[in-house]
Amino acid sequence: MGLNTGDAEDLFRKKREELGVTWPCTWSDPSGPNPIAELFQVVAYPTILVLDEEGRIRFKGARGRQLDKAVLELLAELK
Amino acid sequence: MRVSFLLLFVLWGSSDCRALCAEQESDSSLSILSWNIWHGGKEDGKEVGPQRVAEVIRGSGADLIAMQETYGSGELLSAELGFHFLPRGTNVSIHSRFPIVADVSVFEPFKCVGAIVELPDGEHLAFYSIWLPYDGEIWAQGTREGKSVDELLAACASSALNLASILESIGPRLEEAGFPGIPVVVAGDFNSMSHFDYTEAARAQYGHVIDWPTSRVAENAGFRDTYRDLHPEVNRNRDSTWTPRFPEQQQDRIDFIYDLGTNLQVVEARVIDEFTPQFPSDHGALLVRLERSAQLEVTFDEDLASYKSAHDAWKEALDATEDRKEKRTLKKAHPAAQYEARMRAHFSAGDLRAAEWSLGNLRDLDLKRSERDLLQIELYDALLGAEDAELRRRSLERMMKDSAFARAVTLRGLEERVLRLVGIEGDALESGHALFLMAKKFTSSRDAEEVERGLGMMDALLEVSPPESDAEPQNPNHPTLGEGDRKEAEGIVFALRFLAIGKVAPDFTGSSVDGEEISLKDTRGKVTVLSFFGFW
Repeated sequence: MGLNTGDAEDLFRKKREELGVTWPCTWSDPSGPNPIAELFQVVAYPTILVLDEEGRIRFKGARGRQLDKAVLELLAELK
Repeated sequence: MRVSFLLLFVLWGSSDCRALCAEQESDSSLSILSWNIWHGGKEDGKEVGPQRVAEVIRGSGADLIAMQETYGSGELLSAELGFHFLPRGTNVSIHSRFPIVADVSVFEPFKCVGAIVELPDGEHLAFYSIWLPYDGEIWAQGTREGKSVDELLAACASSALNLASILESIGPRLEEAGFPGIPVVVAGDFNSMSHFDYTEAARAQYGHVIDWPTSRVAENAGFRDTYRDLHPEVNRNRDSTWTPRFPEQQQDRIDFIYDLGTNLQVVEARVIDEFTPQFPSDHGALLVRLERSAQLEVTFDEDLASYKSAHDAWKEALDATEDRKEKRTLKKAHPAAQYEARMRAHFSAGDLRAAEWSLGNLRDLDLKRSERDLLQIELYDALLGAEDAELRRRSLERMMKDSAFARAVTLRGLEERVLRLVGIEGDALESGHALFLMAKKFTSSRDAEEVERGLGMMDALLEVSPPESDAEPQNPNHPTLGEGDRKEAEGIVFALRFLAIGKVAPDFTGSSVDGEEISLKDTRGKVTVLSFFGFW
């Protein structure tokens, strides 16, 4: 799930198309508040959390290969 | 206790120094001797023994003597020295170059005598000679073998109890005698070692780390161990007062000169234990010379200004130097090192601005690591106890950011200081802020127990600090969070409870760019990657 912060609507739509983003993304007007980012106390972008099937936060800050590994690990738990 | 400088003028302006002062080493210092003279000094002969004791005292240049085991030799010695004399019981006595104007003895006659000494300009000093008992022989050869630390401590238990009674009685006694709050010196044979000596750093010298209670009693009562003040490094061989006559025994520092509120600098502290043909007592004589630092003729502001210009000149020279080798040499010659002693003198005289200066320049002072650690503790403790609330706050903030200090004293050490600060009569917001900073330290620890502790502190603070409670704390005596701290605390507590690894992420609902609702709970049962991002 993507949680967009700070992109103007046009830019967001254009980039989503270009980069082929198919997963759900929240978007809110950059001029207004962003309650989800506030809820998670996000101070840097991107901030990436990986949750397991029960919604528990299992990894924070994993990127690239580490992120793949984290997801694979949790998927393995599912089976 | 804050005491004026008046005492000091005594020691300098001794215009009225008559015959008695003739032998005084210098008119700018006060020399104090503490000495157990061993059965009246008669061990080596009824006549010759006390004569030798008198010679040692004369040679020391002492102005005040706290004597133990006086045993009948007191009158003879004071006549020999031309000193004023105050005995009590048979054991302890006082000899003074200056007039004794009142007897302020407390506790048992055998163990304690106290005199108000009038220094040449009329200022007063309360001077005590004490002898503390011991409960077991742990100095003679072989007597420590196989003994546990508890058994060793038991041998010195009475010493601590007696000292506590003595120190407690002094304040009220001085008040009753019409000398409230004057400077105090307590000197004598304590028959106990010091926790300043049996330290981790000195384990190789003593074989044990022992928290001797007697010296703790003195420290907790605010007294300064004058010898240790001048010589912070433990050196068993140099420090020991027991025993010049029995080299085969355990050698220990058991004689002490403590002071409170004198505002004087210790300029000399040594054990006298040599005499030809032989030293007349089984105790070395402890000599301490106190002085008002001449450097204090210069004010703190003047010293600070001159330091600043020295620093500017140094910086300029450093910037102008191209040569790397030269640069390195220059870097080592930081001017702070040259100002350290002066600033320390200002600090000793009670000027906390000098303490702040020293803390700020700690890394540039020419100190060993152990010395630096000790000094740092002393500086922070003084600053956190300052009367000025703003200075306390500033020092607290500094301490909480000082990771080197946190490493030196651990989080528990920081907490101890924060709690002490909270104990000071400050306002609810000041103590709330102090506790909040401490809680924050705990919550950012890597140790799970410490994190829990911090969380508990935050909860307790939040409970008594509803929003906007800084405008009007529920209870002015109860630590309360200001609005900024309160919001931050809420954030930290929330993050630890709901956003930490292993916690179920808080649910939310947002909308897509096309207006569809998206909720986190819809992803339950799937592995989910949450990515906060922007294309920008």
